[in-house]
Formats: sequence, structure tokens, C-alpha cells
Amino acid sequence: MPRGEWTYDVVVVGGGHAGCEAALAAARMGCRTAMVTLHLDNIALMPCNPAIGGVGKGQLTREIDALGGEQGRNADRAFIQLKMLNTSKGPAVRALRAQADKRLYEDWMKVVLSRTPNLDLLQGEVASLDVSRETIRSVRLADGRCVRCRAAVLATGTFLRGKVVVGDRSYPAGRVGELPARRLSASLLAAGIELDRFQSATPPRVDGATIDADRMVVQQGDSQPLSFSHWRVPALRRQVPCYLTHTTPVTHEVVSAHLHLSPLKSGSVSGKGPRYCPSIDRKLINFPEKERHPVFVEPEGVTTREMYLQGLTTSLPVFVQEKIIHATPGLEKARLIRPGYAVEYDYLPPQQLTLGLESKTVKGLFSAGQVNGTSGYEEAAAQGLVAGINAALYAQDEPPFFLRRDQAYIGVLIDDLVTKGVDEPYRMFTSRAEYRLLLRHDNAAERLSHLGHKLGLISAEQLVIVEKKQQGLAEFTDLLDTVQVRACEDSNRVLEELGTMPLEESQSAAKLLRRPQVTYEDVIRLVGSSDRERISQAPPEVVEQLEIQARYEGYIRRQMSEIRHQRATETLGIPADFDYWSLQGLTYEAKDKMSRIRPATLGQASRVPGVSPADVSVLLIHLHRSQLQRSVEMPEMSFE
Amino acid sequence: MKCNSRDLGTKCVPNKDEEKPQTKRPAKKEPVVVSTRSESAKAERQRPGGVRRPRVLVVGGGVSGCACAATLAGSGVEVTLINNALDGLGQPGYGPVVAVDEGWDGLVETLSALPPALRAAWLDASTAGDEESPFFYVDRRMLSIETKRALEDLPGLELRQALVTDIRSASDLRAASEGVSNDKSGRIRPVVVGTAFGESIGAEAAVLAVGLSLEGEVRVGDDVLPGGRYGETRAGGLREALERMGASFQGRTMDVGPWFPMPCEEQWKAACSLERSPTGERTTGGCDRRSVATRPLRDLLVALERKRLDTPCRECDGRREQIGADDGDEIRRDPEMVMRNLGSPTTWPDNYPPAPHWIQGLHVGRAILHTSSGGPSLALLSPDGVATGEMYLSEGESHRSEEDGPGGRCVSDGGYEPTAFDGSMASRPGHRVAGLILKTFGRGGGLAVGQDSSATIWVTGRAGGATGYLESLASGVRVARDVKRVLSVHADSDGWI
Repeated sequence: MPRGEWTYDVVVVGGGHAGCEAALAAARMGCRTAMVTLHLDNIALMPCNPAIGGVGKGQLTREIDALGGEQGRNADRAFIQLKMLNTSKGPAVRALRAQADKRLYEDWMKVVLSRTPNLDLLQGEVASLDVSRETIRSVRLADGRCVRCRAAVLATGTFLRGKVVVGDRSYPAGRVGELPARRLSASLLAAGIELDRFQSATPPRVDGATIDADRMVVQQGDSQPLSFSHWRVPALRRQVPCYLTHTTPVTHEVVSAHLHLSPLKSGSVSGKGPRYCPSIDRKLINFPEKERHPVFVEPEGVTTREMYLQGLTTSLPVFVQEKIIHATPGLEKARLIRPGYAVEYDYLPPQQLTLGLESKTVKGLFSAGQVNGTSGYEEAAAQGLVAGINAALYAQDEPPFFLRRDQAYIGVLIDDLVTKGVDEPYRMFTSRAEYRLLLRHDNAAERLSHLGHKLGLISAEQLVIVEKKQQGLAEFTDLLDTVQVRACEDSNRVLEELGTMPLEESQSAAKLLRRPQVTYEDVIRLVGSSDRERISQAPPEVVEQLEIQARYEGYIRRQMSEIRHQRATETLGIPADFDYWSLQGLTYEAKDKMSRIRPATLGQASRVPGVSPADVSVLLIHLHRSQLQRSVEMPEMSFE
Repeated sequence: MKCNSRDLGTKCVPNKDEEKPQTKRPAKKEPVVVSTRSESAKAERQRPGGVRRPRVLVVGGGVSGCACAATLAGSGVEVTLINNALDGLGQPGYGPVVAVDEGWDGLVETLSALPPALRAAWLDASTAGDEESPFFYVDRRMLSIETKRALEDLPGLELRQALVTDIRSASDLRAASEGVSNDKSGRIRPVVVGTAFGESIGAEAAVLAVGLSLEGEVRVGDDVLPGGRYGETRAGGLREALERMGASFQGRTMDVGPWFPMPCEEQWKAACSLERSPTGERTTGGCDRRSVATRPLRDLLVALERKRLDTPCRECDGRREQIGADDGDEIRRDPEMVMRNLGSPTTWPDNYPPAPHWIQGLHVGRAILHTSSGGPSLALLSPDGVATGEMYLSEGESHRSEEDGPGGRCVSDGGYEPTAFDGSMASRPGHRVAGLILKTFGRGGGLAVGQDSSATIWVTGRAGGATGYLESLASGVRVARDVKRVLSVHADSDGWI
């Protein structure tokens, strides 16, 4: 072996949330994997919000965990506050959110990475990719080392030609204080990959000892044990509170008075920013009528006094940032420690990717995370996991792995990215999923862990945990069907207390649970003493599902039948070399868009922007007629 | 054991440390006058009830910057510590090995001079082999986290994340009519720094603890990156600004690394059993392990102190246990006080991986490496903390800095045949850092600008010529004391407290 030249199956470029998941997945699937990062002290950083999860994002983290990823487990190790959101709302929007100790999160991830067999961590800047015959061959480091590989995953975050901006000042950096990746962009362009610019921003941090907590609403974590991971026993830990305050008209006046200094106005930022995580300047431009916006004051860890000001994201000049902070109730005397700033970077418009996150231009080159035009640690990790899995499968000459939209939020995320593209950093919402009642945080393991097991990321023991839970669910579902609640005085009194109709004749416990007012605990009170003990033995995660099943049975059934109905067209495969131009009846726009995006299935084709239902029909008829169709192999759903 | 005359705070013979450096100090020559303040600014200071403390800017949050800022804050000066990336605050930039050149007593001396919280951070984060090997190993990450915590808790000390790109005296500012005030309350501070994000921060004096970042370059293999340590953004403009103010510079280089993945016990064994000649000598490649289990540095120092307690001292008639108090010029070493000062480990959250006791399970290794240039050489493999999973490889003494000049070789990945373990690549290639340091009036820091200027700018740590972490630590403390003393000279006339 020549000196300075090394061979791996998979090389992952970047050590953020996407990079870590990709590297761990590939290594755990048996590939000799190298994770190359600019600085080995900066692994799994949370450079913005010190939190994991939330509505939409929490579901992603649960799915990552169910497939054998690390994010959920790591969030459990590092959380300093854990909370179930939307407990009063429907089950589709319930989600976990953890406030994490940033340093702890990084440390644990580094420990996990360094103890993973098959995985080497390398520090260096990837300067270029060697591509021949449209296939990745190796990555070259700026220091002269060459790492040969079968597959590579780009997870460069905001580092490609990164530039940090405050007011009219800027300098090259991937994050404040860190050198950007200076050269890789040129190599990607040379390989025929398109790049564009996005920007993102982070709010200022203040000294927690200088805030007036009495003027804010205290937000505590949940007092019952919870966990992100399916594979850890939920534990209670001493938790740290967050605080809620809000901006005022005075705050808004300060912002308005200095709006001309904002990079948004001055043009020092050219890339597009996230509409869904807007800076305070943008909020004022977009919602001039709103008198207040919430500001969450969140601890960055237990060993630091720094607090994160969620809601005050800005890249206005530093003196304006101080004025904005001081015009916010409870923060009048807050001392600025880190100014907020914006970062502008190159991303790969994701329509260049397949559903497996592989480049359509360079075989064996995958990409994941912010570099694909998303925002958020959970979105990044989800893509990282899928890209890592597919890089490993590619290196092992196995067919790629996809998740469908009706299977997982991860499927929704990737299908949206590669089919519709992005015009601003993409963020996950429950509203993006058409089957969100099925894609719940509580059934992620049932939906996905058998797939993780097939890939070698979930052990047999872990699968047993899921199977046990499913068995329990089946057992208790049967039990509820058989156990009768008698129409006696006692039970009717309880029902009246709950504000629901009394019974005229005996009814099964299952039927009673369908009533919106009746919880599982009430059912335990209602059933006869002989059944009470057995029924009350259901573990909490089973209880949660029993309630959801009972209450939303109709909706769930309807969504399932919709999925079945559409399955045939959804999974109807389109050959990768299909000639759209020669197909009569398609609009010019549809031909143009589809031949660029090259949808893998008819379902994906139907979601390509500019493709009408009429185009889809034309395509469908043609595919049937020319016998070209073949069902793309996709993993089965477990709960059918 | 003989009483060591360099024992600080602590000894049988007069302690010269407090006095010695001062004789070299510029303060003895002419008072450094912070003179060009306008009368109105002076009036502002002296207005009734307007008594205030002087503010000092410390630029750079490495080993010396943190020591300096903490010492200043502890002495009643208001400090703003500016660092480019606050997550790396207090983190030693050049590997985990700390050479104890001055002996263990010298180490106790250096540590004793530190503010207690910072001392605790160093002790918590450090592990040592046996008494005979004059090194200890610091968990750089743990040190960084604890240092930041210690500094945040110090009253009068403010942290600020910023990249400093400019420094001027207020009089220059006015000459350029760039505005009259550089303080929130409209006052004029003699020194102003400018940041990459366009801030201007004023103070009575500034201390530069910028390491090798002035014109700093990091050479890794074929690549040259800007920066005073690997991977960080460099402050452009600062050198030019200092030059305008009359500072002068000299070049300095520093060799760092490489790092390797921390081998597990099996890998250690495998590496050691490889290719051994009949005589037991290694013939080619691989590594010969001499593994030393480590223990917390605090435990080692306490044990040494106990031993000292048990050994009568000839020079002071065994009166050692008498105290800690001043005896005229003499301060007697009080092992019990020393032990108290060494304290006990800080309590960490249960789920924190770098809990101090973990550090006991680490090993130090000796490796024989076969380099591309010539025969085998002995190297030290040191644990780089508990959460990094890496070991730092230093080739004997070559990790120490050298005077400028082309001497010394770049210990890049290509320099060593990095086959030390399992044929794996170095996790971080070795590199050479080259940058400018400031010429000062004392070794290891002092006044860099200010003799004739209206602004006083001090320099400490590596930027002031210190080599090694311990020298940087000591330099930070010493410069802090000098700054405080010079500021006190003006206290009366300016109405500071």
C-alpha cells in the first residue's frame, strides 16, 4: 500500500448529526468506515438550539431509534429536561422534546463513535473527490492523504464555503470560530453536481445569572420517567427549568429602527433562510401586526450559565442585539455572551438525489443533512442514517433501502426533498405527512424495527422487546374485548362522573374505551374486581396504544385502506432510463421535470411539482401498456 | 527529600518568586501612564458616587488567558475575556501532555498561585503516571468545561465570544475621529479592541493571550491552514494594529501530534507481541508498550505531600508542620495546607462521561516508532481524555516548541509511518504551528505596548514567549498581578477602587 493512501468501504465527510449517524450505521453494518471531519474536538455539536425533538422532529428521532440510530439514545444520556408535548391534543401531534446539555451530548457521541468497531475517526479537510466513469473512487484530503473508498457520504453541514455574517460584516467560517471547507465545492462542481446558497442563523446567548426569572413563566420538564429510546429504561433525572417570555412593541420598535442594518436588507446574505425558523427581523417583516412573539430562554447545559434565546434569532449588529435583548421582559439586564449570527453556505439542491440519497450524477456518492438543504438536527440525523445505510448497501452490492411516505416521517422527509426540492431550508412538520395518524411517535418501533433488524442495526434482543410489546398489545386488546362492564349502579355512577352516558346493558371494556371521556384508568375502575388485576397489569406504552387504537380506530382504518388503495400506483416502478421526451401526451413541463428528477415510482412522479394528474394518467397507461412496469422492491409495513 | 527553595507559598527559605520578576518589570522604570484621557473623562470618573473599577480586556481564552482573567477578577478588577469560540475556552491547544520541568514541587507552586476554582479545574482534569516520569496528562475537554464553569462563576468576569481583529489606543481613535466614546456609559477607555463583527470594546488595559495566532499558520502535510491552532479562524488585522502601536515581533514554531485511536486492551497486547526479536527487542514497526496505570494528579500530589510530612526537614528543624504563616520574609511550607489547597474532586452530574474518577482507568504507553527517516525512536503515548477515545503521541521532547528557524521536522502523518496500532491511520495528523510572538520586557509575558503609548497592552502565555502549559499558566498569573499593580498606581488619581 502506498504511503498516505488508505482504503475503506465507506467514507463519511463531516462529524455533525448526519455524519455521526451515517458513520455509525455503515460501521455497524460491517463496512470498514472512516469519518473524516475538520476537527475531532467538534463532534455532534448543537450550534443552535440545545434541544432534540419537538413536534414532527420528535417522531423523526423515534424512527431513527427504531431503525438502530443513535440520536434518541444519545438524547436520553444528555437530556436535562424532557417533556411530552401536546398531551392534550390528538396522538398524531404528541411528541417528545429534550433540552440537552450540549457538551454532554457531544462527549457521549464521541465515546460511542470511538468505541464502535470498524469505525476510524480521521481529522482533516476533504479537498476533492476522485470520480471516474461517473463513480466515486476516493476522497483526497488537503494534507495530501488519499482515502480510497467504495462509497462516500457528504454531511458537511454549513461548512462548504461557509461564511458567518453579522450586520454588514462577515468572514469565512463554517460556524463561528471554525474554519470552513474551502475547496470541496469546486471539486463537486467539477464533478457535475449543482450547488446553491442557503443561510441559517442562530440567536444570541446570555448569562443565565443576569436574567430575571421572576418576570418569566417557568417551564418544568415532565415529572414522570420518559425516554426517547425504545431500548432504554425510562429514568427520572434532576431536571432544569426553561423560561418563557415574549417580545413587546418596544422590542419591535428597536428592531424596526435598525432593520436597515440587517443582512436581510443590506444584501450581505444572498442565500435564502428558513421561513419556519425566522429571525426576529424577518418575523417583523412578515407579521407586522403581531404585538408579541414568544421567547423561550433555555439552558445550554448544567455546567454553564449560558442561556439560549429561542425566538430572538438575529444577525443584526451586536449593539442592536443587546438593545433587542434589553427591551424584552425579564432580560432587561441580561448580559450578552455570544452574539447571534447568520451563516451562509453551499448546499446541493436535493432533486439531484435518489430516494436513497445517492447522487444521480456520481455513483456511490451520498449526501445527508444541512448540505441537502434541510435544517434541524433530527432531519440531519434521519438523512444521515438513510445515507449511511445506503452507502453500506452500495459498498456491499446490495439494493438500496427506501422508506415510503406511509411508513415513516423519514420517508416523507426524503421523498419531499428529492421530489419537490427546496426553496428554503426544509423543516419537518406533522402536516407534511398525509398519514400522520399512523406515523406516531408511540408506534415507531412497531413500524420500523424489523427493518432495522434486517439491515443488521437492530439486534435480536431488541426485536424481542418490540415483539413483546406487540404481544402485550394483542393480549390486552383481546382482554378488553372479552371483559364486560356490567350495567350496575356503581359503574353508571362512575360514568356519570366522567360526563358520559350510563350503561343500559353490559358492554365490553373495549367499547367503553372508545368513548372520548373514558381513559384506560377509568376502565380499570369500571370492570369487575375479578378482571381488575389482569387489566391493570398493562405497561404504560401498551396503555397509550390501546387508548389511541380504541379512540381513533375509524380514522386509522380509513388511512390504512387509503394506503392499500394507492399502493398499486404508488409503488409502480419507472425504469431509471425511461424516455419521457418520446412519450406523447405529457406536457412539456412534466417531461422536463421528470427527466431531471427521474422519479423511481409512479407515486413519486405524481408529487413532482409541475406534473398534473393528467400527466400521471398518461404515464400510468403507458407503463401498463409497454409492460415496463415492475414493482420496486420496498419494505413491507409491519402492522398490516 | 530536601526543602525546595522554589516552593511557593510554602517554604523554608525566602520566597523570591514574588519579588524576582518585578525587578525586571517596566513598572520599576517609569510608571506606565495611561495619560491621554481628556479632562472631561476624568471628571466623569470622579463624579460623586461614580467610583468604578477599572476594566481589563483579556484577548484569548487559552491556558494563559484564562489564568490571567481569573486572577485579575479575583483581585477586584473587572475583566472581559474575549474568545473566538467559547466552546473551546480554556482548552489547551497542543495536546494533553504537560511536562513538569520544575519538578512536582514546582507544579504545586504554579497551581497554588491560581485562583482556587481554576486550580480545582486543573486538578480534576489531570492524571499522572508515576512519580518518576515528569509528565502529567490533562483531559483537555474536561479542563475546558470546568474552566468555563469556574470563570462564569467569578464575579466581575464577563465572557464574550468574538474574533478580535483590531486594537487601538483611544487617542488614535479620536485622531481618526471615529467617535468619542467606546463605553456604554459614554466614557472613553484608553484601549479599544475591534471585532470581526464590528464591535468596539473599550478598557483601561488589554492583555493579549493569543497564542501563536498572530499571522499563525498550521502546516499539515501539504496543506497550510490559517490559525494559531489547528482548525480555528485567524484574526487578521491584529498584527498590523499592534505594529502601528509600536510592538515588535519574532517568529515561533511549535510541533503538535499526531493522535491515534485509543487502543483497547486487546489491541495493546497485540501491538506489543508483534515482531519481537529473540532478545525481546522490537525489530520492526509496531509499538512496545510500557503501560503505566495512571491516577488522578491530585492523588499523586497529595501522596507526595504526605511523604514530605513523614520526612523531617533538615533546614527547618522539622518545624514544617508549623504553618503557612509569614515568618518575616519566610513562608513555611505547610503540607496540610497544601493538601487542603489541592482539594477534592468536583462533583459532576452522574451521567457525565468524564467524571473525574474515570481518569484512573487510563494508561500511558511508551511506543517505539519506526520513522521514515532513520531508525526507531521512543515516543510517549498519552491518553487525551476519557471522552475522546484518542491517544496523543509525542516523540520524546520534540513536542516542545523551538526557537524560530527551520530546525525541527513536521511530524505529519507522512513523517511517521503510522503503523503504531493495528495499521490504522492517525486520527489527527501531527502538524506544525508557526506564528508571531510579541517581544516583551520579561520572559513569558509582560508589557508589549505602553511605554510611550497612551494605551497599555500586555502579553501573556505563548504569545509572550512562554513555552509549555505550566509556563503559560504561571505567566497568566504573573501578568495579571503586574496589570493590577500598574492600574493601582492610577487608582488614586483616577478615583478607581
